[in-house]
Amino acid sequence: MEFWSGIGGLAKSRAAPRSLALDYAQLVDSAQALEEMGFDAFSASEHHFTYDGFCPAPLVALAGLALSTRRIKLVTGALLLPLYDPLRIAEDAATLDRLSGGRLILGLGMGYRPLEFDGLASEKKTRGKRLVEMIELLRLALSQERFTFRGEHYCFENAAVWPRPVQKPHPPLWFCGGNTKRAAQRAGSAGLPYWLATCTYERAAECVQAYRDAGREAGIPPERLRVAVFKDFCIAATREQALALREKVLHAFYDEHILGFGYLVDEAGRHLYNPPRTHPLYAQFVESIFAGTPEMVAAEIERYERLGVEAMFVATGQKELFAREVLPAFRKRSADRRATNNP
Amino acid sequence: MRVGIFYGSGGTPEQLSQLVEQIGLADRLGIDSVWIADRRGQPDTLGSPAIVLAALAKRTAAIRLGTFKQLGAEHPVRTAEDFALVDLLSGGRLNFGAALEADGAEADVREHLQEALDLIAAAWAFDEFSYGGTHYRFPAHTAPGTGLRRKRFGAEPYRPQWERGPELPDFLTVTPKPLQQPRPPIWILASARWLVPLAAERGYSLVLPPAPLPSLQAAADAYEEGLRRAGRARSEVELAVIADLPLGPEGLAPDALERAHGLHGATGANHIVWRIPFPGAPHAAIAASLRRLASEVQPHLQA
Repeated sequence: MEFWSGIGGLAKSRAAPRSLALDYAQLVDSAQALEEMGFDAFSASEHHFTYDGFCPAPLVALAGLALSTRRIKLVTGALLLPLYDPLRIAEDAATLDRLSGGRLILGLGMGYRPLEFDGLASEKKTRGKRLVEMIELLRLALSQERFTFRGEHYCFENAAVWPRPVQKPHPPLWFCGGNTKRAAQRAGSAGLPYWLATCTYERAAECVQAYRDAGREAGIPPERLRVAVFKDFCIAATREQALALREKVLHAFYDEHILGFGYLVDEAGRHLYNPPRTHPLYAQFVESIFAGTPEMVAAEIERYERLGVEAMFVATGQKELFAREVLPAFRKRSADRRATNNP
Repeated sequence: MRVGIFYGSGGTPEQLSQLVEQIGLADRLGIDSVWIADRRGQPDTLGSPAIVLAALAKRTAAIRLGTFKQLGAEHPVRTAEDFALVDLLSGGRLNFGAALEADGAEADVREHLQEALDLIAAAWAFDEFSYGGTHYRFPAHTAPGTGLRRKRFGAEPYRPQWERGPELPDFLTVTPKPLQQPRPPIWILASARWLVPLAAERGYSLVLPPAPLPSLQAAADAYEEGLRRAGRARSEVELAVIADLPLGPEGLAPDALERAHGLHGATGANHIVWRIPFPGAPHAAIAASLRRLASEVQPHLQA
């Protein structure tokens, strides 16, 4: 299991303002600290305008780390692809892969907030189709010196993108498609690596199954069906303390993002504003944040390992605790496995 | 007078790593500014300036980081966001230069360029604003021709955020803001003569690309005249001139200082930007020339 983490992303609220300038001033320190703690990747997310103004341009933020870190992978989690010009994003991604010595991983989402589409003059209702087209376009642009793509929304004849990325055939492209079965099936039948949004283990297992079934039906070779997850943890010495911590974290998040900004989305894709705390989707959201002791957290991660999940984005304010109490066991196990595989 | 360097290309893997090394050296030597082009389509072209400058931001300490960004291909708000990050990552060292896309004729692109720059400047300066131009509208549902508008503080009674729900606000705030105050300098690369009065009218700084002295002098005079007509002071802006770094068989040509004085004398420019012959001259020769530029030329120009 690879462990990915990052900063920012919905961490700013009206009741708890932060200095964004300071976050950027400390960006390299933050990434180096994660690298030293043993995380495999540093991830930056994307949002625009008032809601979460931390990072509107994850590739630019990650570029700030390209020449100042050595090992840690640089991940967009997620970059809202339909908001971009396809050739520009291919060129930016290739340049960053080049500058970072081949450490770029692209997590690609479609975006959901109406005002982000309105702000950047991008059509919202076509975003799902455009996302799928653009991922294919990126795959071609990043893997071939010359490419032709004819889609419903984008057409390019014999186009070229320079520079060429370091990674062959191309930097990994992950489809970040929420946590519904429909999204999982879409990723599976397109044969795209699937990065699952935060949810309970049970939901994750269902989605992974739906993803693999759809992939098999579409004739995708099993080795191309890869899964990563976002996962939130609250960690404490006892389960009760961990639950109390979760309640505290949730309180701020609920008031800001869930009540006001439509963070919860139902199966039909509708955003919920001001949902009651008794709403079943809220209960699911609460349960998606795993609260427990370090041993319980490790056992939970093992369940994801058995599902075949290869990378986990660890969303927690307790990165040091996680790195100290949970990470070492997995590091040791994968080192043991390497030793067994390469005697 | 400030001393800068300019790279017009350098995008192949080997060139890119040499370019990073040369700019790192220029920073340690105390060169004032570096500028990179924004071009695409060839193996050695240098594009994605926001990515390259963001990477350089954490590799350098004092040198100002500039580009001539081609406006037109992407939404100006996206450009404002990208370069606000470059300014933040570099501790406020961004020089934002705007260039025309190749082959832009005045009639087609003048209004585009003006609107894009107005929108970028507004995005950096204001919270909760809207912009209704002919070519660009922000947010997109803004009526064309309404220009720049700002939400009046306290104009509306308080409503909880959830009540606003999915409605599209008429005014948006672009975040994060750049670090420099009042804003990162906006420059115009004067690749065509009509850009000179446009820069003067809006109070943007001007960069003159390499040209014979009389032509540079005429452009500088037109800039002065434009500033005067707009009621602007010369001290509001900077004038830079790009010239080829003179290289002889021994490295930096002995007349580099003389040429700088000549350029200053003809134009009143307070910033000389040397175009590095890269790719072309070997990496070691360029590094040696940068050292001599910093030790033998720059001190005489700073006086």
